[in-house]
Amino acid sequence: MVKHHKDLNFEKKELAYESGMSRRVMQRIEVENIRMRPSIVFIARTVFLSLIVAVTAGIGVFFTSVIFYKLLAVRVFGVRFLLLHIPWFSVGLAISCFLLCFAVIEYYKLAYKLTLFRLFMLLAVVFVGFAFLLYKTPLHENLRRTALSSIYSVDGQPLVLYAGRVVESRTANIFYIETLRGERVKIYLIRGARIPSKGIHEGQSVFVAGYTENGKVVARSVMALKDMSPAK
Amino acid sequence: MMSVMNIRAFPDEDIALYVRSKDSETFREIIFRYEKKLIRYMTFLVKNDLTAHGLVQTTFLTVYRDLNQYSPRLKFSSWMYRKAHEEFAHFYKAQRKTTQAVGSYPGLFEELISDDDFENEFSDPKLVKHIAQYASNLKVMYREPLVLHFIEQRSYDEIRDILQLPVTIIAGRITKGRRLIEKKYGKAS
Repeated sequence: MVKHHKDLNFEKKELAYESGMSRRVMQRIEVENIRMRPSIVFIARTVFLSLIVAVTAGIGVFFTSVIFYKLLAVRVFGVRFLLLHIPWFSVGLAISCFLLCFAVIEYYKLAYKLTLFRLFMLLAVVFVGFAFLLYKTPLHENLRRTALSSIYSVDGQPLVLYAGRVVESRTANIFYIETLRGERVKIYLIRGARIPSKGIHEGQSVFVAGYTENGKVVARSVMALKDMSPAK
Repeated sequence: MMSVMNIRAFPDEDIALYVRSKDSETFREIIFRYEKKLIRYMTFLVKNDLTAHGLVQTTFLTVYRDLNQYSPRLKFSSWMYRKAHEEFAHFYKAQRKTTQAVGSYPGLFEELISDDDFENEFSDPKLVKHIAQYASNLKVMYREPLVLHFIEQRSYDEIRDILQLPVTIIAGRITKGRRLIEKKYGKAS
């Protein structure tokens, strides 16, 4: 906010002081027609820099959360698994965004009161913390489904895929599964749907492919999977 | 009705806000208040009084042009020194190799602190004289915080705002600078 001047009440003759420096500076201001740059220039600069930091941090947080999603959502652990499944593309982009954010803050002295180490740690905590929170939301799952739906379709309807464990199976064509993310989904089996030869029973791990209709998940195909419990 | 006051009674911040929104002629008062301080500071940095005069003149023009950037959250003096520091930084980048004691003459630095306008409120006068004598032989990274602290009498927080570095780094450089002077030229006697 721009603070306005107080009405200073003083004798103008008190400004009569004139050293060589004062004379030269005032003369140059007049002759070269030097004007004060408007506040908007400085405000725009600050807003622009803040936007760069915010956007870079946002993109970085998103790709960090993709790493969490890829590595933690499947709940399969082990060094070999990690090495095979590390999402290098996301890792590269997350690190690039982190470094860019750090460089902009440091170069333009946006947080000069902090030491480099503290700034680094603060940014790391922000990136990892927000990425973990983002990973906990259904964002990535929804993005994955949307992406798959746009690629595959069933009878002209976008394809939806679920993997999980059957937790309740009361009637022949309705059962409930609990997905890997702990979500409970009600599945309706359409007539003629492909199901495992031994039928669907509680505790079984299944993969469901179908579409949504009036908010209901209608399955066209249910495949039995091997046990999906985490590796020991 | 407001009584007419001596302009010297108004703080820098009020004068700056007045200049930018009402009367640019009052900028003379800012020049009056900072001319000698900035020339002294700049001379310690560039080790040449003529160059220092030139850079201070440019600093005042930049200050006038950027006056709308000044926010009263910061001390006006810190902002002024910051602008002078930026001017020096541009000069230093362009003339990195000529920051040796070219153009300085014996006694130049002692002369700067023997001026009547030099106010030393906090430091031991002997120490200030010692630093004025030998700080010019240090690297800029040590010389600048030493000059700001002991010669220009700026607090660590003010130096942080001027150099835009964390206080811990400033404190470290001041200690190291003093130690280097003591090691090479002995303690202030």
